[in-house]
Amino acid sequence: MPGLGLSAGITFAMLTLVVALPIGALLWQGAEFGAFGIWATINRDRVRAALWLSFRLSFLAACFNLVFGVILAWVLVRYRFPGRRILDAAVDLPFALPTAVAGIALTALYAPNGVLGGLTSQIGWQVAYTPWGIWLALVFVGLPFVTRTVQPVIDEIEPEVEEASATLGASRWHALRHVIAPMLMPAALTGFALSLARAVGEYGSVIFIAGNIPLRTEIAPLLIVIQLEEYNYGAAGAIGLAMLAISFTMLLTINLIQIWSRRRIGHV
Amino acid sequence: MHIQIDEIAKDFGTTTALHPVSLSIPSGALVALLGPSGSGKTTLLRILGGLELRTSGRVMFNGQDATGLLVQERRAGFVFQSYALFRHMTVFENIAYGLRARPRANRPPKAEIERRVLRLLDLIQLPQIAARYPTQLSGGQRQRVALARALAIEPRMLLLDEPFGALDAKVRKELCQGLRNIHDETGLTTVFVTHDQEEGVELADLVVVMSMGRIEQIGKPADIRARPATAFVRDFIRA
Repeated sequence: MPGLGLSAGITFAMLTLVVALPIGALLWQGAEFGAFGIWATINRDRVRAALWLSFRLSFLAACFNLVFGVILAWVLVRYRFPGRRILDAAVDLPFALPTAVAGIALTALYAPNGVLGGLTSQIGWQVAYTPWGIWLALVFVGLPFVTRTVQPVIDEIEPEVEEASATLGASRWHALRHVIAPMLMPAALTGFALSLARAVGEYGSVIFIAGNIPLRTEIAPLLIVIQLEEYNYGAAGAIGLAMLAISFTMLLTINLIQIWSRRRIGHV
Repeated sequence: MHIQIDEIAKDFGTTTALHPVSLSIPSGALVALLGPSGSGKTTLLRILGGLELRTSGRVMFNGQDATGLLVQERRAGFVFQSYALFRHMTVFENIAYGLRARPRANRPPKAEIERRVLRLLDLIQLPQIAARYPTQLSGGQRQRVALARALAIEPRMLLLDEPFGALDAKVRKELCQGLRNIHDETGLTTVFVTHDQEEGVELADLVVVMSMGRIEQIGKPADIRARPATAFVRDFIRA
């Protein structure tokens, strides 16, 4: 194939520089620290609590984004209403906004003396400085991933397919379950994985609203920064490695589910 | 089934797609709605199938008012111009869809569904393709699968929107004959939409010529050819 050598060369060089080298450095750091040191770092209550918090809330936020992001994409593609274009453009805002700005804005809104925080605390529900706040920030930064991956797929589904289902006597619900959902599944899962990955690594928007109380609202990326500030590079690398391992396992699982679903629902 | 169209009209916003039209389709007939694009023929077909709501008028099936029936309740086998096959399902699953979608109480047992699907594949003369996906079929094969899928629900009538529109001349000829045979075998009242006067005149028992949302002439193909009622019909049939 013409151009294979050149394009492969560029690809591998870029991948090495941008992806492989940093990950290699992280692994190297871990190797220097030793398996025993890594385990001793991770096995502390504070670290375990932070890892559990980060991954649990990232997963919950990605689940919410999966459902709401698909609905949002559906509305943007299928319905025509005033302000649709503005709403469509607004979906990308979490991409463009500096995450710290988003975090401060959410905190200002949801703090007990904020506009929405004042309302929720009246019913005894505190959002800022609790896991709810972290979850909210993660939903905010992850939403565009699902919507933007699913939107073009919905755009390609011809309305006649739904009409055909109806003429064959199937209810709307049956069509949704057996025609629409299988067609959206691969793209929705990709969006879910992207949203999850982004949430796991998210730092800026979370630390303002989280309150960062050790054992309760302290996320794993923050713990890494704390270790770095104390020149404790080994421990920072160890937590980084633990996150890398868990993320890798989660993304691999999602990929396997995708392969399985593609085999089960066939050519999409 | 006898279909009676009574002063059916349809507006889309400020544009009128159909002026009040009336038409009686005898049970078991093969009828062509013939006209240029924008003549309202597809709108009329979609109103029959329940996919479009009429602005005024009535539709009667076997003398009973069917105007308010939902799409799902009409039991009209509908073949779309784009075929609208479910591309994530095999041919078998496509054809079985309507039967499997029925509520449990009147859903046929698994073996019966399989028997019916295989019989339909025989009817469309494609017994070997049950396990294939729509993307692996030719245009003519897709059209026949769409026809089989519509027939699987034991429809009371068959409605086809430009069924041969996207096919080349040779395949079109074969499929015309195929539709004729299936119509004669099942005895279903069949209405198809076409802009091709040759297709309409050759295939149908009764041709309805339409233009600008109005019916210009209703008659047997030979009569329409011999005695066009209006200048429009004469020009359109000659073209």
